[in-house]
Amino acid sequence: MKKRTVLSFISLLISTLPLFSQNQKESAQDFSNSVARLDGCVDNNLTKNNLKASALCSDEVFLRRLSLDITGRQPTVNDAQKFIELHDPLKRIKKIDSLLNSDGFVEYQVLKWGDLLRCKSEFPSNLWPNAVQAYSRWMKESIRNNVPYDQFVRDLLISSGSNFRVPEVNFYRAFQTRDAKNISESFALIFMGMRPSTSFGNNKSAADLGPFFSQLKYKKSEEWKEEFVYIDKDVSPKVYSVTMPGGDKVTLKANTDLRVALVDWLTAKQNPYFAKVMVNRIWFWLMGRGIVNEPDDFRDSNPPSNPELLTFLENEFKAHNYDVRYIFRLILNSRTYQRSAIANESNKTDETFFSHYRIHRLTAEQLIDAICDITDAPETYWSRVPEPFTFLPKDTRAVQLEDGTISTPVLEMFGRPSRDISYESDRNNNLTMKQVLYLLNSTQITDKINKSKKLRSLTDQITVKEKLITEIYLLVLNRFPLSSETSIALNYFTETKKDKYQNTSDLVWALINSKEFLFVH
Amino acid sequence: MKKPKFNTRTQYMNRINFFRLCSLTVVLFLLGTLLPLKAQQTTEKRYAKSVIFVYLDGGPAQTDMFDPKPKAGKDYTGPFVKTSVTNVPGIEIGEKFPLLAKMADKYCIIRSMTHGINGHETANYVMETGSLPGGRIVYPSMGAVIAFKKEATYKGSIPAYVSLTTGSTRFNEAGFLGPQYKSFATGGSPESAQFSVEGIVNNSYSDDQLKNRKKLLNALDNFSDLNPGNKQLADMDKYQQQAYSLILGEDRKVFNLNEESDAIRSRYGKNRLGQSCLVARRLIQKGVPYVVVRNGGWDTHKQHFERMNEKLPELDQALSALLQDLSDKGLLDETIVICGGEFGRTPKVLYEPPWNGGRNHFGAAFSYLVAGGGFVGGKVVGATDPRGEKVIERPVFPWDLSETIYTLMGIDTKGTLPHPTEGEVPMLFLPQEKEKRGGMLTEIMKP
Repeated sequence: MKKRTVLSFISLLISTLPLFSQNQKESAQDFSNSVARLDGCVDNNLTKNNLKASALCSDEVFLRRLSLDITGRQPTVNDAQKFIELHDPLKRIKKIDSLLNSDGFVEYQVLKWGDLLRCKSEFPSNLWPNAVQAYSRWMKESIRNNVPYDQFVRDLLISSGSNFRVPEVNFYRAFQTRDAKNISESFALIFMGMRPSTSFGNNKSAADLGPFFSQLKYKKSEEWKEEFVYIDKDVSPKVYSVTMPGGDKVTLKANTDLRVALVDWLTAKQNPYFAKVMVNRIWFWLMGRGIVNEPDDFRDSNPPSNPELLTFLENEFKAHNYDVRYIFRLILNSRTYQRSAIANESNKTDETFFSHYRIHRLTAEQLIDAICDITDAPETYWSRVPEPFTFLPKDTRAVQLEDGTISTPVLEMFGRPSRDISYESDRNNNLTMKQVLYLLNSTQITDKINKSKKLRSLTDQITVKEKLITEIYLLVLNRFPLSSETSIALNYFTETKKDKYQNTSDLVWALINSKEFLFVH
Repeated sequence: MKKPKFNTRTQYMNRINFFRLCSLTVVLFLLGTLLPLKAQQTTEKRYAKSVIFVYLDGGPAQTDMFDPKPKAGKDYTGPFVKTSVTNVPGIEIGEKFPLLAKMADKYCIIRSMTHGINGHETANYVMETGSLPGGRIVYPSMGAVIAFKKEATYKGSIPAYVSLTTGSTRFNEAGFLGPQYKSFATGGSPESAQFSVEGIVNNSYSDDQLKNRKKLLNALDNFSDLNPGNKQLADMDKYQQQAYSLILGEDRKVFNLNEESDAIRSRYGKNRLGQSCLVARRLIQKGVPYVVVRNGGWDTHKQHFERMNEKLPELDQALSALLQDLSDKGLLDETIVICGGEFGRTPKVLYEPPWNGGRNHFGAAFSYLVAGGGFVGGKVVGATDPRGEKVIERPVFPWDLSETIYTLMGIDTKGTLPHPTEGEVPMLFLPQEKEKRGGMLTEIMKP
């Protein structure tokens, strides 16, 4: 039975030939083999631990999950309806590809990288708005063009010049205190998954990488808030050889840019951290938990829950020239990703082995954007720096905010990261009482719903109540209502004497406050 | 309070003879009313219960307020050439503060606040956290720390850290403690007929409507059934219950200013600042440990004096009413009131374009008012030079103030806070240099 599912899955993947460009036939076969090997790694581990995997999730659940996970937004009514009703065995595969190639994916990745690189115009990073914009545009272009990850990191780290004109240099400006120690700790955290407090077997820690950043200098220009980051090669290395975490020795040569030696070491194929940390991070983004967890806490005493899986992904990443989208595609097409969140008797306590999908609250940006989409009542975002204030275009979405300084109290209440630190845990998806109060009874939410022109005109246009209820379910929960749900809503519509707009509002309000809406599942 | 007295007496009884006991009894009888007080002071320190921080967002001009420099000339004073003589000999404050002048015995003025930072964000961070910026740790505001530290003792349903009516948009108030410690911002307009409080008081629905909607939600929200035992989903049920006990319960009435007499409401001033101060008093009466009244409009680069003519009388009225009201109700001793912004403003008026009579940011020397909760009244701390351009006596740094406030609240400043990735970290991030430490404000703390 199980074997048959695997086989049919593989044959499905193979039959998607035309979707994959280049060396078509071969690469499609390779790809489906890779997906099967990924699932195999997970399944072996499950068997070892006497766990049974949950079944695959339904199409409607899959679409909502996929859209939120990789573009940060819910599917539209049209998308949901079409996808659910479409009879095409390849529809999941096609959807994954089309979303990976969408602007939504790029935007959402810029958000993730903005978090990691602490992209913020004022306090504590003090990048300044023009620099934030340039920096984000650079990230956006790199991600859109799917620049290989090793190249992306090389561009970022070996950069010199003006904060406005060579945006990558802002990596070196996003610090409260710009000293070699802080920079090396940030470097190790982001690219090696290594926390400042961690020391490795050979007793080396992030601070030992300080010498590579000892030549950095900063200089203001005539232009307001412009700043040059440059390398003073006359600063001779304090040490001429550094023993790296893991044991490699790297030589520092006088009169050279010392960062080059560090990046050469980091991005070398045999580097034990670089590829592993990134694939684990992508896994964390999609699965809600790293194979090494937390994803920025690699150390000997925190081993991966599935070493074969991590090694497999690492090798795939290297073999595919550090293609980030490839890793996304690989994971998204796996049965592991597509499993239901509904646990079974054997796996309900499993937190570590990926036997079922982990439900998690919508992130701050996802949630606010979803509510704005449902009501068609956008938020107003504006920057207080510099004065006079800058208002962002009306249709700006929260996931498009490039600058951590541009925020709203609601985004912060729902745990949008402060961008003060580069830990993934800076994004807080825990539910709190204040959030529940806000959703249940704030004037902000009720006004958005009650004053929504979109909801009013839906109510006017769709006169058959059952159809209106269906539309609202598709709009909020991206699925059709069960007949029991339709009848509860119908009862509510008729039992109390309220005007029809109020009925619509109340139903939308109730669904927005339902767990099915608030959690990705 | 009776216990120590009794113990003392029994110890004596064992040791001394009957005659001595007789005379002692007389003495004890005479001291009867004084002793409990003494015992209280020596054996059980009384701490402040709440803080009200009237935060003047944007940076208020100290020389027009608590540190007037009438002799510096019009380049410095602008049109405000006079001062108000207070009821404490030797203390004069700005001419726009006639009401506060009548009660200088109730508060102290710090004229030597300094941090030297002229950017809003960093200065806001420093004043609200009381920590030095820098390093890799971003600290929580005092309100978040106090909410965290008082978790074991404050059990009210109103959040422990409330902002009227908005939170800080300049820095992340919760710092590393996480968003659950961010202030609860009320939103709404306390000066309007119906004060809507985000999430708690929503005036567009009657209680019946709220109950109806709740029923619909409960009928449709069946997701837990598919995932029994899931902790996050169970938590949500718990939070919804708590939320409804606030939304439909008694405690929301703390925000209903119609319960106050018109006389009181008028005394505070029927504007955003005044009515927010009144709500703050009602909140601390319910035991809420930290309330920020955030008042905007103090960032007066241009049209400074026109704006001050509006803002200073409002502040004078609201702050004096708050102090008087707290004092009348016997709450001032247990409530710390502080008032100030992220920095001051340039003592010299910028008459040149584009400012045309404005004052810019000034972090080198500015003033704070502190009162109640263990502070004495009628004192001035520190001094600035005759033009108000630098501190010449007893510099007070933000960390000196925060250490004092924590201490008055009974929070050990030598303690630690849990950082999610760094383990236990010190309560405050303090500078190493001795010259950047003024020390706690012991000179104005009650013994």
